[in-house]
Amino acid sequence: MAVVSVITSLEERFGFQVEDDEIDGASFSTVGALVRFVERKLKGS
Amino acid sequence: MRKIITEAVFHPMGDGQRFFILHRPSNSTPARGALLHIHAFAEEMNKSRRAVSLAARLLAARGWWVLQHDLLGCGDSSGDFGDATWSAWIQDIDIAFHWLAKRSGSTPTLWGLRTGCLLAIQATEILACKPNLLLWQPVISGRTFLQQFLRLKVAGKVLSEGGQSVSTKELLQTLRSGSSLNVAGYQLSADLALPLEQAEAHLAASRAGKILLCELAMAPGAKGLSPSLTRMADEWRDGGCSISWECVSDLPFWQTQEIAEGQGFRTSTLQLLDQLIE
Repeated sequence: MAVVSVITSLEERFGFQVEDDEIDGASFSTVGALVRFVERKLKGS
Repeated sequence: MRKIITEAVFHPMGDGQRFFILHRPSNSTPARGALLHIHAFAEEMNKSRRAVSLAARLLAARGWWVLQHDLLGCGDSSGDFGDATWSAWIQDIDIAFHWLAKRSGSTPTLWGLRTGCLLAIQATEILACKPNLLLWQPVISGRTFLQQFLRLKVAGKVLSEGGQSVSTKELLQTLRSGSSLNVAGYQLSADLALPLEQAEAHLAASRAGKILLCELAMAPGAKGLSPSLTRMADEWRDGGCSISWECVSDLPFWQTQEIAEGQGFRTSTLQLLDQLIE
């Protein structure tokens, strides 16, 4: 559930939407991985 | 704090009644205007009850008439959550707006919280006059919000032992077929979910007066709006809207486990509302 809260906060702050199949443990394993995930989402939006 | 007067009213409607709670200044305090609160969605509404009530009382003590009303299927109004539809909620806002305008003798400002902001923005399309808007932590995409709400059910299924997994796409399909869903204890009808999914925070200057925006600061002392609200505010400004905003150091009282009181939002709101006084 903690990951769900992080995803929700990122969606609201940056204004993108995360689909179910994008929720992957690897993206949340380190801060660096999460930053790369957000950057990828922002480029795609 | 100066004395306020609080009235509770069950307003009759065709399908039952709506619960109104009006906080207003005592007769000795000059009235500054009126605010109609449009509450948050499902559990966020419950979590925010105390913060909103405290804010309403403070505003009343400063001369504002503040009406809190429970939308169809919420709080002490008629119906269960499963009876609620987006169009009925917009109609409820219209009725409460006119009731408050008549009682207070002024055009109410629409004060939305979270998805209440999306409702406020849509309500400007049907209201006869052009209201000011006070938006607290607005949800700007109904589609994203609905997906977040459905994700509670997906996560619940994952966590329940032996539970069959389900995706938000499948849940959306169920809603699109016209069926309702039970999510986190709330029966969600297709007639509420599908219009929510379509709701976006687009606003034309011709429909609203001044726009006052309060957003949670992501770090203490942070001065800038989030990237998503910056885009929204830029779009509105380009469309000719007049916007003022405050970044608020506070807790997200609509979602905290322990009930939080939203003191930062109250204080920022008093500052912003001064701009509505001529």
